[in-house]
Amino acid sequence: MAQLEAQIADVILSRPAEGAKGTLAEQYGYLTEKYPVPGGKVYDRPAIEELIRWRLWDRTGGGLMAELGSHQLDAASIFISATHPGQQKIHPLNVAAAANRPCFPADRDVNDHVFCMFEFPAPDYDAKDPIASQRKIGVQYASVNGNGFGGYGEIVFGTEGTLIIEREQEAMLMLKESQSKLKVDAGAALDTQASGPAQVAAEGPAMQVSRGYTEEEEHWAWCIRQDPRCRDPEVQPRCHPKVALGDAVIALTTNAAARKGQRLNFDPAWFDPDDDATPEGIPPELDREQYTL
Amino acid sequence: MHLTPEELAVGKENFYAAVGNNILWPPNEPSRRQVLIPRIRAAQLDGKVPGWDYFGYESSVGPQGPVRVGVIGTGDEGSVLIGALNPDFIQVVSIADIRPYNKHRAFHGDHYSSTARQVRPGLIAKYPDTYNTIREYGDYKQLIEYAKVDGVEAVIIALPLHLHARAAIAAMKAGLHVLTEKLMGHSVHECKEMARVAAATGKHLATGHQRHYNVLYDHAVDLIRRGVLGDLHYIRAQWHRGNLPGSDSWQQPMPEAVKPTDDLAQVLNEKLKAYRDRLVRAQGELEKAVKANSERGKREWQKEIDKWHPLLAQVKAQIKDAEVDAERFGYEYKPIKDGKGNVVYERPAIEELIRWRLWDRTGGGLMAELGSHQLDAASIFIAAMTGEKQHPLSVAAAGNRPIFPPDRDVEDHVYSLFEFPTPDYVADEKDPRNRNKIGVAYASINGNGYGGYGEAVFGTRGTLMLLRETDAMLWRTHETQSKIKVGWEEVRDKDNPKKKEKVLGPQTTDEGDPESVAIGQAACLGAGRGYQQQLEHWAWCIRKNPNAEDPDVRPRCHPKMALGDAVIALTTNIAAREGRRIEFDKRWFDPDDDATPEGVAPDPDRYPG
Repeated sequence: MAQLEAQIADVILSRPAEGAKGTLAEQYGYLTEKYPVPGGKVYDRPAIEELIRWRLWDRTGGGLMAELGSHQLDAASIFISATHPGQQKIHPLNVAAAANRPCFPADRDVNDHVFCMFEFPAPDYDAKDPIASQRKIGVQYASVNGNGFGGYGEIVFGTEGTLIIEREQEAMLMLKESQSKLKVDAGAALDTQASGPAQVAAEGPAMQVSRGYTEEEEHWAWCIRQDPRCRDPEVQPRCHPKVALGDAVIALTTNAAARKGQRLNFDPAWFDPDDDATPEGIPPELDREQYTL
Repeated sequence: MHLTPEELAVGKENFYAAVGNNILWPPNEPSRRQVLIPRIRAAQLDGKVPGWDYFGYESSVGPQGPVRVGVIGTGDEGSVLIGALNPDFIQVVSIADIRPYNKHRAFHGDHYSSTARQVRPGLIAKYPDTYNTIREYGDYKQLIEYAKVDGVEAVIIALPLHLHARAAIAAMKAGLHVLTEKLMGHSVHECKEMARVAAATGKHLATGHQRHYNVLYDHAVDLIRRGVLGDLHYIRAQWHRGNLPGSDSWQQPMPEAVKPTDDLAQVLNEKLKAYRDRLVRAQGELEKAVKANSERGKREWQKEIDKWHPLLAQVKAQIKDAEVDAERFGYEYKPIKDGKGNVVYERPAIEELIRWRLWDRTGGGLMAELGSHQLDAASIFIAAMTGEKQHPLSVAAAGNRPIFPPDRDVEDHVYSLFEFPTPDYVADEKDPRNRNKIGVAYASINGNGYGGYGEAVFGTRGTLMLLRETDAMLWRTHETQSKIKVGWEEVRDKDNPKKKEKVLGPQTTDEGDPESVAIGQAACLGAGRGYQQQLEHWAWCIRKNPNAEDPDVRPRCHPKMALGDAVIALTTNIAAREGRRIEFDKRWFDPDDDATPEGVAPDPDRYPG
């Protein structure tokens, strides 16, 4: 009851702001818009809707690729990096994508289906050699609404075996010749939400595989205590700025590929925080007004 | 995702439950059971459902008797088609192939495994009374030249892809009907030339996309058409094969005499020695058994001889391919060079013939050989929502070769992404309905066969899955452990969420729907992959409509249909190789329009009469 009342109390943001034009939500920078819908009608979106449903709007969210795909492409990059020598995270060479909205009406900017494919370099890839330039690893990704068949996860195909990770909770390894199955199952998860800790079925085994939220926060806090001035490069969160930038480049370039209807080649400079090149063509500017309180 | 055997079993039962449910048929149509039960009775007599009843032809080609056919190209696929022939519909009177191995298999079948023997039984097994009257030719041109003398009315073409157009057009110009293996042609302009010659000569030209004659696909299309899946919004298809260097089904061994350096040449020599040794031993033991007057010994060793003799004959025929003068038939030597200009692989002309699927000049790669079938299926599923075959709007693709060495042109991995229009799609970019598209994601890979091959069709109320052309499954979207019964339910209108409508859909139940399952299962009894039915229907069309004048009496995969499949596969190859997304031009799908994705206009007159 208290939770529902609090949710309804959000209505305050739609009321006029004291001493200012527009609603409170507008005062916080959210916008009121009208969207054309079939039949010559319009969909009215008050500013408060842009706030509450921020994932649905291009100005406030990044769509399926930002919310969901970025995690899984991050995982794909980690898997592929594990086949390369050294510790460096491997970036994709190119992406082609399509995004559309067959399920939902025109009550949002974002698409409800995104499909994309990436080519990553295999360890013996060489762009300059006609033979070695074919040595690439393909990554196919889809994020859809309207039908949850298959749930979410990653399948990794190798010449000796297949690795399957489902819902961040179950890992399976199929050995190629024997067809035997090694199942690393640490709990029957009944997760129905995209974020938050895994829920363990009451009747399931007690052991639970963590999705990593707690560890991520603990490690970050530990780094702050151990290396408060960020001077030791060995003591930093695993998803530090350069790693996270890579994931963002992948997700946001995929969105651009889908919107432009083009296959895009990744520029290595986009992955370098110190380089001004970006896929959107806007150089970083640290002194922008928005960044001041 | 990984589906357990239990989930697959539930899915199969659900599919049968939907197929057998009477509720799907509105009162103004004959009830489903009125339609299905006669088929089921026929299936109980014959062991399989009658293709003619499903696909709109009759159980006989009529008083003129079987269509007299020449088979051009009797390799892997040609021999599969021979195995699928129904002698009541088709009589083979001649064959043509330049390879001794293929000629041997045409008659004797493929003995290398029990599966191979089953799908390629050979003409001797198929026509035990008449096989010795079948004429043998080398060059396909000879078969066509002597067609009138031999009384040939039609030809089945299963040559390497680059020869489909020239052989089909030569045959049609000689007055013969044609059924060609897929892909229709090596390029879109060739496909259009084939279509135009078929129209000009009044001949039936069918292409072997056999899913058009698969009973499971027919039921699947019907379920989509009747709305059981809700709005279809995504299709995922794949063909994963475990081929690796040294064991690639497209890279058959070369005879040592023509390529001593071939890694697989010794495989043939080892087979030859092993089969010969075993046959000699069996013959020796048989002699001993005869002398000892051992009936049991005679039986057992004769059985061994019967086993090893055909295997020895087959490997001998395979090695005899070394005698083919491949260059005389247009095949070419090719060196493959690395970035420094060093030759890293040499391909003699005969290798281009034997391994034609691996080379761009003779084959079309994974999209032509495998992907074309599955995109054909995707188009059929999407068409079920709108009533007519749908062409994609765009394709983006990637092709690469992480597994195999530079012993081929073709990629070993191809990924592609298509967008098809939904029924309410609007082309105007300013209209929100411009985003109403159905995505189709496809992958064909080597190196790991996990997942096999099949298609998953995502609807808003159900998920349909076809595996290996032989298994069909249905679930209520993601509920893979739940049995279903098709029934009425209320859903919200997409464009007006306040409005609700009653629709049919799969509803989960504990007990399922046993009665409908029984009927549905019987209605799918012995459903094959469709090879036999496509051949039967083609022969029936030839008898019923010999001048191809009646547009309602034609093969299901007629020239315009097959052209569409070729446009998709070949444009995907262009998208992958050029690294760009391509929007399909509607004119590419029109046989009478000169536009093609490769930019070469069709010219049917370039083929000699």
